[in-house]
Amino acid sequence: MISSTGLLVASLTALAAVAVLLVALTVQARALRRRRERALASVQGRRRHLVLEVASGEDEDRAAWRELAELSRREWRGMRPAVIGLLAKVRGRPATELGALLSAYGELDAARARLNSRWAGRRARAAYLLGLARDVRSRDHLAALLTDRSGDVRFVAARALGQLGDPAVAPALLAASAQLPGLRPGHPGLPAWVAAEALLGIGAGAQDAVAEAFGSKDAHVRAVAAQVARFGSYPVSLTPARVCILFEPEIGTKETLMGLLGALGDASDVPVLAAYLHPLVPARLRRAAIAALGAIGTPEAAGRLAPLLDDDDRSVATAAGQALTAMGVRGQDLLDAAMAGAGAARRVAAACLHLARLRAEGVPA
Amino acid sequence: MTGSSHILVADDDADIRDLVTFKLTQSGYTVEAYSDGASAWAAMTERPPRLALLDVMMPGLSGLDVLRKARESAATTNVPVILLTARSRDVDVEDGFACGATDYVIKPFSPRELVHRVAAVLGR
Repeated sequence: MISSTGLLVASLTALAAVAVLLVALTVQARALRRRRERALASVQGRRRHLVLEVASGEDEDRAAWRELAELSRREWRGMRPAVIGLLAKVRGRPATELGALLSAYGELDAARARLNSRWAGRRARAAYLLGLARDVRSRDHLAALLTDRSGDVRFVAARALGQLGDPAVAPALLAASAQLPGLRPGHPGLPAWVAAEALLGIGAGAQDAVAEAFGSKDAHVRAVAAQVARFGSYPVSLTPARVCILFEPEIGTKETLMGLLGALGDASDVPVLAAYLHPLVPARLRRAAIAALGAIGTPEAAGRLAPLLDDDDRSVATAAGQALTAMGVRGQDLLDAAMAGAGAARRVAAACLHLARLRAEGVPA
Repeated sequence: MTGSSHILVADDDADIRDLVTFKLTQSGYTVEAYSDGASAWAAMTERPPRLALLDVMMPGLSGLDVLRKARESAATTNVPVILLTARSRDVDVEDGFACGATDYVIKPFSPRELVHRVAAVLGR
């Protein structure tokens, strides 16, 4: 029979042995990792100038590209992060060449296959790489991910499609920014800014789809359309935006539409915008209408702004003063006239003219 | 290479720093590269470059901070500054020019175009 002391000693010995083994394994793993990192760094160090040559567009005869395309699998694994890192920083021919390098090693085919992985992280990383490499062959695969069950994957796929820049996917991006089935109300398939950024990445080729989206029943889609039309300054969107603003219930979208009318509109938009100057309209919309009228800058627009200088809401009065200041001579004449009066209008006009003088002298306001 | 083509580059991204340095060096410029705004500013005051290429978002002193300081200092007020940044909104570009930037290059960028812009600014 084993005594309790003997059992204790045996247990302690076993524990000590396990601890020593764990320490040894940890040390070995660290040493291995360090050796691998050193080897990778050495490969990268030796070949980095080749990647820089390709990425900088200096590789006119493609000698550096060919040398990089002939690395062993192990060496390629070392260079891959540098190629992907620089691919994210450049555009034009260097980006095409770096993408072609990834393709030469089968990275893009593998990424396309990973788009069907059951792991969301893998799908997202694959979509990221395909977007980065502007792999047009992946367009339909990436568009299919816009309805992926993972929000992160939808997000990355949208950005990747924006990088591809193919106008054919614009309707799919707009559709994905709607309230998708299965998602909580108020949570669209894509956040508005992600969809808008991707559509802006596509450029003017997306403007017809954007103009059509003003007629969508989904508020998220109309919000995205308004943002893209506003920041992309798409003239095709002006007519549908003029109709949309009359019926749009969402304040944020209405505000963006006012910005669009201010940027692209004309004197015919003044009456519609002026209707939002009424004191019962939320101040946020009043200020947006003021800015838009200021941007249109016609005599009628200026005439609508001048009475607001003594508005009860100081933010509205200040916005009117700033809009008049930005209008140039026409607005400044009205501010000068307000200076001759009294009360709040005089104070606001004085402050705006003073700030305008400081700006003209180069003093940051 | 001459002292007159001395260009200062500041970017906290090593890839961008290496790439810009490589491209400009290949184009005949002498490049001094820094990874943060503070050391870039110190170098700028010590030896004003012919041109500075600054990233906007850097730890500590940002590119805009360095640009503002450069415009306030007599020694560097005339140094042309090109901002190199991922911030592409109109308002960001306007901010850059309002601070006194000579030009604005948005990332991802074309290295060839960057060299053309540098040459244009330097009047070469």
